[in-house]
Amino acid sequence: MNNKQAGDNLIKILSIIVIAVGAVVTIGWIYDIDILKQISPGWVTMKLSTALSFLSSGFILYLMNDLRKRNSELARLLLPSPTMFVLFFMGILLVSSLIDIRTGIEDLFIRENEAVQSVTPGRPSIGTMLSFILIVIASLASLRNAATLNKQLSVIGLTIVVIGVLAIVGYTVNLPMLYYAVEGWSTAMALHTAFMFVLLGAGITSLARSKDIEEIAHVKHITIRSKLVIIILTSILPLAVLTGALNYAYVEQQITQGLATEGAETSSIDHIKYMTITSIVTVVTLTTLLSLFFAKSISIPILKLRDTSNEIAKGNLDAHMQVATNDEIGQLATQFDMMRQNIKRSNEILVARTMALEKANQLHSAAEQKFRNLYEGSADLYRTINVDGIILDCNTSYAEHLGYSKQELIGTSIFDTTAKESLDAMQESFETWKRTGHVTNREIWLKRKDGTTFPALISATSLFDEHGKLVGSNTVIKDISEIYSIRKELENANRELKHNEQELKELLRSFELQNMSLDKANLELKRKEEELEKANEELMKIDKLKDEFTSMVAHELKTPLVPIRGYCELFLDGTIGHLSAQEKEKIQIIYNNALRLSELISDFLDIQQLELGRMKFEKCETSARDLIDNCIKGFKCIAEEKHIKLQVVSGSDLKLNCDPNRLLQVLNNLVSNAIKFAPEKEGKIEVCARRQNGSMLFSIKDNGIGIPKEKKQNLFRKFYQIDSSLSRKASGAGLGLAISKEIVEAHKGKIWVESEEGKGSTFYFSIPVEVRN
Amino acid sequence: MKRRIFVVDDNRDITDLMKLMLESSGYSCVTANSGSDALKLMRSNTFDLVLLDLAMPEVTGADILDMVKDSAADNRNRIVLFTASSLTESEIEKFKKRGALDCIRKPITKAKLLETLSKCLGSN
Repeated sequence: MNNKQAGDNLIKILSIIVIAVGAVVTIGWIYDIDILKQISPGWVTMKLSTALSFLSSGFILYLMNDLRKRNSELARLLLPSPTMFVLFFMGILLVSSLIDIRTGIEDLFIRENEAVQSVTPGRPSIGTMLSFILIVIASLASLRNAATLNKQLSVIGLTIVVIGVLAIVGYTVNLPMLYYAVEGWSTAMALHTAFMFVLLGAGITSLARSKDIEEIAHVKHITIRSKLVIIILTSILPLAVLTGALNYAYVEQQITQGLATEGAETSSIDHIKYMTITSIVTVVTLTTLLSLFFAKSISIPILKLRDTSNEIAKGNLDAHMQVATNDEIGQLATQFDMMRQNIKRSNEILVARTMALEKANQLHSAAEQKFRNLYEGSADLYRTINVDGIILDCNTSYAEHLGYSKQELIGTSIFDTTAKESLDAMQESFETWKRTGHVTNREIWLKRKDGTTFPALISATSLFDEHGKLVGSNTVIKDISEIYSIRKELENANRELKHNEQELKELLRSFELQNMSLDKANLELKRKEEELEKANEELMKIDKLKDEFTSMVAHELKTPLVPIRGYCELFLDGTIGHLSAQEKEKIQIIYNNALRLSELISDFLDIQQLELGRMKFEKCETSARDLIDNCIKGFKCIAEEKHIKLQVVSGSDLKLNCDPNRLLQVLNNLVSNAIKFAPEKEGKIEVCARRQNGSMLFSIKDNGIGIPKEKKQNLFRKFYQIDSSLSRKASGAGLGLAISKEIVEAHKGKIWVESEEGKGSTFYFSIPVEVRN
Repeated sequence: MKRRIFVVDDNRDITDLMKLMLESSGYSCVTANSGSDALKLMRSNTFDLVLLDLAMPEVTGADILDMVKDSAADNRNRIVLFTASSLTESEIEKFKKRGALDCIRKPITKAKLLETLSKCLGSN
């Protein structure tokens, strides 16, 4: 920032120095003060034209700096004025010196120092003129603000510096060529002129070097006002110069003709001199004033308009423009602002409408998407046709179902994919749709690419354009093949059913007939059943009677035996009186038979109870030993009487869960049988009870006559006697073994016999030992 | 003092036999041939033991057993049942619960009768 500021100030100082030097020299010329024209007496003077040009160049540098650094609009407006001045002044001098014409300008200010004789008095040196032309080029380049401006400025600045330095060097080394003093061609450049050029050149170069130059893209053209100034200057300035030249020529002619005196000559020259200077100053002043006027009334409003329109162009519609003038430009500005406001309003409306539109668009595209999804994603077949029946669109399901690709289908007629047998129906359906705008569930057969057909239900809705004109239809197609085949099956089934029904009816009729006979049979059966029931009841009654009878018989048969047996006993033991041996023997026979009758009755009742399953067993824990002992005790007397050895071989103490009275009955039966059949005196009976395989095995072994093999099987049958002749000898009803078998089997046991004829028999029975917890 | 035994049976042959058996064995014996007579006698007399037949017309032995049992005054007579039917052990047990001391099956031997008597009286 400081550097920038310092550079800025330095250029300002430089330009002021240049202006000051120009002014001082000009004053020197006007008042003919030599010391002001030349640094020291005898030195080369600075020409008046050079001084005036320096005055302008100082302004140029100042304004260029302003323009470059701050983009000052005023600087831009003022810059053309001094530039044009220098250009025409130096331009005319350069051209006149090159073609060696005296225009009068160079002779205007001739007050040549005697010390320096010049071939071309009043004309600046060639270096001076070139330098000023370069300054003009730099100024114009700044106004144009070209892209290559930096480069141009540095080249121009350095060239001017070189020109100045060369002149200084020339003075230093005393080489007139270097300060442009060429005999007959160019006058010398004054030393302070050279210094001025060095300063100016440095100033211009530093402008180029400024890093902080803001490139102003939109300012590329010379402004309107600049153009005006250029036009005025180009027309007025030559006019002024020409006027001066003509004046000079006139005065010279009068001198030559001797019309004018020497003094008059001088005075007329002075007159022209002052006139010219006045005209130039007037022009410059006028130009400057005009510039200011135009700048205020035209350029600045126009520039404001430009900037505002730029802002608007950028989109800033709030860029308000205030132009105070009432002229056309002011009106233009007001209208422009109104336009801006209108645009702003329109823009706001536009923005609002755009937003609404966007929203509507979004909704529309969402709806469109929904429709698309429905259309595309549906398993149903969709196609869209126009009023000529041409397919405009269809969904993938449709295309796939028909075996085509979408592209193949779009553009074809709906009749192309209609099966031959449905063409008429399709035509009719199509006409109906065109007439009424819709058809619903028409059954149409469609044809696939491979020629196969399928039944489909077709429903069409209409599409209308904005005028309500029918333009086409969205058609939904359902493949009803399955339904169709099911229907077919149903129809077949129905036909079959009807057929079957007929058969069934016939069958039913025959069934009915059969049923009637069956009913009859049933009635018969029921009657028989009732009879049977009655018979059964009768039987039950009889059974009950039988039971009662049995127990009655038992009681009634036993009761008479009580006095018979009792009196016999009393006779035999002598209670009633003494009997003879013969009497006693007969009483004994009665007693024995009474006993036998008792046994028979008892056995008969037992076997009856056992066979009917009515025998009640009362089980309790009983040891086998006790059973055997009880048995042996009962038979001891009889065995002794018959001299039979009755012995217990082994008796287990193991306890059995059994009815002890009934098992004792079995043992008694077997032992009594053994006694019956054992030979007297040599008889031997062994009773044994031992455990074997979870059972108690009882055995009663005798050495009797034995049992023949063929008789063994029948041994345990009722009323069986081995030898009927023996029954006389060995009394018994033949019920004992049968009863024993029933009792053993009721205890889940087994009974059998092992025997050898003549050697004896062994009766076995086993009773399972119940496992106790 | 002879023990007094009361024998009840509808069969007079049997009561006669029993009377003979008992008197020849040293007992004194009273007999009755119907349930109602038996009840009357049992209420007016005290016996050492009653031999009671179960199967009797009208008032049976079982009826007598129940009636006697319910009356504290008659309970002094101890009863032994005397029957021709083949009673099982459990049936005998039931009668014992109803007040019978024991049960003798018909036909009976003199030895068995005397054994039962001495057992029942001896336990007194």
